[in-house]
Amino acid sequence: MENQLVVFTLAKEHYGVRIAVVESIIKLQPITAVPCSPAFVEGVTNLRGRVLPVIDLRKRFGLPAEEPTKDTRIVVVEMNGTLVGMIVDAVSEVLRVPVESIESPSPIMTTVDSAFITGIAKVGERLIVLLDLEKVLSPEEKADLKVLQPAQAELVSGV
Amino acid sequence: MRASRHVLRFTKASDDMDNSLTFEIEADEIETFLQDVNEHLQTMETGILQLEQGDDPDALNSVFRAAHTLKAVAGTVGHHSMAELTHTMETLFDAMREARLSLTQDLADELLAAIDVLKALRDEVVTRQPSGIDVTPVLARLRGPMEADTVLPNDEEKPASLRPADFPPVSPLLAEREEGELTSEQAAQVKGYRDQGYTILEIQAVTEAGTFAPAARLLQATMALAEVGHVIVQHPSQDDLLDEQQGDRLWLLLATQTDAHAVEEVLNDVSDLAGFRVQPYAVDLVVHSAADSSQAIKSTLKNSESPRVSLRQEQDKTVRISVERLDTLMNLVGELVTDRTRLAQIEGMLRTQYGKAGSVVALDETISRMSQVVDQLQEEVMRARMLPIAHLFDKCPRLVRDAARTAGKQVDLVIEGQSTELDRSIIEAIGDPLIHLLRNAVDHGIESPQARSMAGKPPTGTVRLAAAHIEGQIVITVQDDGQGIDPHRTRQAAVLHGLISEDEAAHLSDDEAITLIFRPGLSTTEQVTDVSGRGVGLDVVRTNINRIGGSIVVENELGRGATFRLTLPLTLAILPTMLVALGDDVYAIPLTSIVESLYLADVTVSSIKGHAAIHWRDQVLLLLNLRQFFGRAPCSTGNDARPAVVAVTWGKLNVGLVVDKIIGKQEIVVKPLGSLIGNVPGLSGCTILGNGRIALIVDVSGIINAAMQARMQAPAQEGVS
Repeated sequence: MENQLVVFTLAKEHYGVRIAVVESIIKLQPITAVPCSPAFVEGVTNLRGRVLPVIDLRKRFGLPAEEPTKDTRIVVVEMNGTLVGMIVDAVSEVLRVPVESIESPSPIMTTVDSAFITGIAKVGERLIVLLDLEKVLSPEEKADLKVLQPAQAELVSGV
Repeated sequence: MRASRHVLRFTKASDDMDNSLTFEIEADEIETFLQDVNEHLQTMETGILQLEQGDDPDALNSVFRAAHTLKAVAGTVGHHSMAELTHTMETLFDAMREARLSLTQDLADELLAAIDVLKALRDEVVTRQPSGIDVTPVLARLRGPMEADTVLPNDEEKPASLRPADFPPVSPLLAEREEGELTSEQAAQVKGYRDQGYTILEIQAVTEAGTFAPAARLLQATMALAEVGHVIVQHPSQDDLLDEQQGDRLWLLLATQTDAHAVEEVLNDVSDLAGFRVQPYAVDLVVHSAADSSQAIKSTLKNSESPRVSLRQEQDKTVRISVERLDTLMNLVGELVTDRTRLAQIEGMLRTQYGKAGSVVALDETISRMSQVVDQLQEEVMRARMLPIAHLFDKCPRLVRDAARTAGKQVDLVIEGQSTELDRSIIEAIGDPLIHLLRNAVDHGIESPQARSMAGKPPTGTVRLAAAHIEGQIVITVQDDGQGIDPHRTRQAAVLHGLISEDEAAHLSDDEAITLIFRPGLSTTEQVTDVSGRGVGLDVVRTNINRIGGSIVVENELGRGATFRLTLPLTLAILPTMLVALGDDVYAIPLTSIVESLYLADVTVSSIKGHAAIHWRDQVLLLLNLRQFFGRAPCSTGNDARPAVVAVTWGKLNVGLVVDKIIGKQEIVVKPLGSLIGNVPGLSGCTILGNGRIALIVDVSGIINAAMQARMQAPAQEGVS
């Protein structure tokens, strides 16, 4: 058994998400800010004719903001049937990680809230933080979003 | 062939055992069945309500026909309790037609209750689960008034006109038959078909004794036969079968290119036939005048494909299409609209680069031609999604009647503009709000008959429900001649409920006080409702209407009634807007909300009670800086801004939105912001522009509400400072 991970970096740390949830990886493109939306929501962008909400993972994890570089990417993941883009510093590689090398999260080892983490993979000298995408949208915020969904659903049906 | 029918029988008989129901209907026929049944139920409901208002032979005929057809439909699918109930209703209506029975309000109650039972029985066909409804007491109650009249409908017995003795001379059951009675036209047809290599078959069929709707079975048989050949002549005629005038037996001549065996197969599939016989039609026809007959053949071949064929052709001209497919189509057209805009932009760029080179001009022409096609396409697809609002309005009389009876009031409902067409998604979206408004009108608007008499009004109140197309929008009006809304009471209620302070309340004009009924807090508790006299869930109504880009306003005349006016877009998918720039971002303002736009440089801004405002059309127009409202930074690069005031309206309220630049008009495809972002105050969605960027759509009602609340709080702030 091994996990296939898409590995990316944020503030020099390595993070991984399961490749199965990654829809695509795109370069940073113009993002339209949406006023009055949750703070970590960067805005919306046009993903091949679809409206893609984009979140800034640095903001989400409380990391200091950085100017985008030529390596900055948007990792498009599917969460609960909808696509969401996550801005990351860079995408480094796709890795196969044996299950044995994955350890339970320990608060000491990472700067990121352990609630967002499912485990930590040791690959050679590197530590890769495995993200729990479900929780990257924290439960209470998700609860709020659920309440809003009926309104959105009606909008969708009208399109 | 009989064996197969027995198997069918057997499955039907076993229904009771395994508790799931079996009907003779294919899965793909269910939708048609539902539509048929719903239509007839609606006709009956509407008709009964009309009859309650007084004698109306047309209404009586239409309910009778609906009950009758419903009985046939129920018989066809083999739903016996449904057929029995409709049969009883039909008998009642028949008695009314013959003036042996009159419709009392109690009988109307029973009939309407029976319609509700029919709805449950209808659902059995879909779910195949018993609804648990026992029709026996319903039948008994319906038959009550008839028993007094000694005409007891006997469910399994057919009306007297169906007795065999009444039949015109049709061949006896499966007997040899000398048929020489073809008209010369029909004879010519037989010859014509024979000359073309068709076989002429003589077909006789008879239904089993006790079949519920024998004529429907025979009709089914003729339609099945028409699929494998041309029916030249038949007894009884198709019309008679449709009317169920006659019939437990059928005789017809079929011109076909298949063999008798295949035709037998077809008839095998028709249930409840006791037997049939298919044999070549042996009679040699003597056609008298050759010249005459060839003429006749030509014309009859065309005409004589008779009613059933034309019926079939009629059916072939319409295609059932799922709503999802229409939605997809609409979305694709939307994409096309976006691309068209993009193309026009590219063409503009090319023209700047290459001037009026031949190919640029050709491109320009092509784009404008394509634009016209896209416009037409858009309109056609939009039209395909349109339904007459009657779909919704037809349900209203019953609703108003029931509400009025419960409240002990007398209410007439006047409906106008039922044929007004609008997008089906809008019809769906306004159903609940409309029900709300009608209930409100009956519960809180219309007074009791006593109170009305005391106020010098007729004891019966009137609620008017109207729909109309006005300037590219749909306007729906719910008007009552009741007591109206008392602005003093809404002020009191709002203060009582802590929505506004007494000071604020005193500052409100009567018009503004009345719009308080749309505020959420005013409707949450019973007491407030009682105090305000109105306002049950009106905030929800307004929210729902706003969500689909519509607006609702109320006009009020104390003591004379209230009018709620809903203004709705024709379609939800494509929105004509004006694009404006706020800093670096592009926002779209729906054109329907815009009254006028002016350059800020051309007007004089003054300060009124601390608010920026301009004088505009003899009124004070409060200004609201949209960029500040949304908390956006000013333009970062360059400065081609030319600030403008876009005067927008919501109901009776106007606000001037200050924008950095007006970009221009554009039709956009509305897309949701998605669940991650959710509902944002002042925004109703977004769209992808021709250049691939995303523009946000401004929710004018949300912004005006925010502005209004800010203004209400303004006097209090002034007091502090």
